[in-house]
Amino acid sequence: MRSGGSFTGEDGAACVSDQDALARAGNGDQEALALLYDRHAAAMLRLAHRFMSDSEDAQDLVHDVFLEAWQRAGTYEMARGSVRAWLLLRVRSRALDRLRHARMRRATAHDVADYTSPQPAPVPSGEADGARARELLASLPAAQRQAIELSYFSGLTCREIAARCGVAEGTVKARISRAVARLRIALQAGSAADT
Amino acid sequence: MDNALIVEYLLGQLPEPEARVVEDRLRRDAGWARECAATADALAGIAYADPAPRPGEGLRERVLGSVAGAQRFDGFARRLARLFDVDEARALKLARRAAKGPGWGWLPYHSRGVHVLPVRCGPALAGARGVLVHLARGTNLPRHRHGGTEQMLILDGYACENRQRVVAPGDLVVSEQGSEHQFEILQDAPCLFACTLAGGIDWLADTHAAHG
Repeated sequence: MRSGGSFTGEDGAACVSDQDALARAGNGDQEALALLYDRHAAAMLRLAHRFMSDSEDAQDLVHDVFLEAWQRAGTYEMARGSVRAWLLLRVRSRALDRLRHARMRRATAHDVADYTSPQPAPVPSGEADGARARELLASLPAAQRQAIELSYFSGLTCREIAARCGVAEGTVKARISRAVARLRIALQAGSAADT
Repeated sequence: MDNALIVEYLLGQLPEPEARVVEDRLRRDAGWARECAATADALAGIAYADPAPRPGEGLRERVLGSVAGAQRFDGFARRLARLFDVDEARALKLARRAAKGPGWGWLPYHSRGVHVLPVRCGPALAGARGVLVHLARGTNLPRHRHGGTEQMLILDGYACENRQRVVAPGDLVVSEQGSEHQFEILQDAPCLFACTLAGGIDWLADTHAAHG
């Protein structure tokens, strides 16, 4: 792990952890921010596109979250998860916030009410993480998958999902909890197999 | 340990008071923090489920340009153009002007530490006023009521609207006619936003006369 100097150069950036890069970005190091962009922008944009129908709005959202990372790096707590998880949660949170306020302005909820699980699009080559995530989601029991997708991608509360699915709120909570537990085990097993 | 509670916390499903209880527990309990970290990583994995679009040309440059110097608001030019109904070249000039901070052409506004730069809006906003608003550090925007629709695009700084919603650069705050709000700056730093107003403003927190 490097403690000073530039990230670029013949020894590259591979030895710099995301945590170090974020800390340095928070101290005004633009190369560190560039490193985080190169590592995570594609995943953030992928998620932003899931929420924002307009491509430029999705890119604006990613832009804004990187700006937030730059200005508020100090709010990241390593003990609560990886930098990747933090960035993706910020994308999700801010996307839902924007959609929620836009919806309040329109005073309709059609984009949530009309939610259906999207058809998977053709898989680009080299998308190992994406393929694994799709495989894991597909492997979940249908009710669990529906609950986690409605919660994660549509921002519905457990109560709203329960009403929509015609089950008890506690059932929804249990489904989401089990789904996350299964994903966690599978992703950890996948990570162990990669190393 | 309540795993379901941690999942709900990470998904943003908990009401604010319960979320604070979880945050307090996470600070005190290493086991909870580990559980939270592992769950957050699992949830991050879901984000990969869709095919990855290619970042648009220039996004990387836009992000890196937004963190330094005279071009730091260039990344908002498209949204400024949309807000003020002006072309992007003019919006870019406004962004560069905003980056310089209050100076020539800026006017003192209602409260001490608040300056505005009037902006000539496009035809779609006929009858509305456009302004860039700069709040010096330590300044708040007191409670006020809108005589018409107001749209605010946050360019710099973090503020809390009505002690509830935290707004950050890039957020758009739309207030309808008759609505009220106030802003408190969250960090010891200035706040800058672009704003269109379709009507006057009544200040409610003190005895200043209405503007508009």
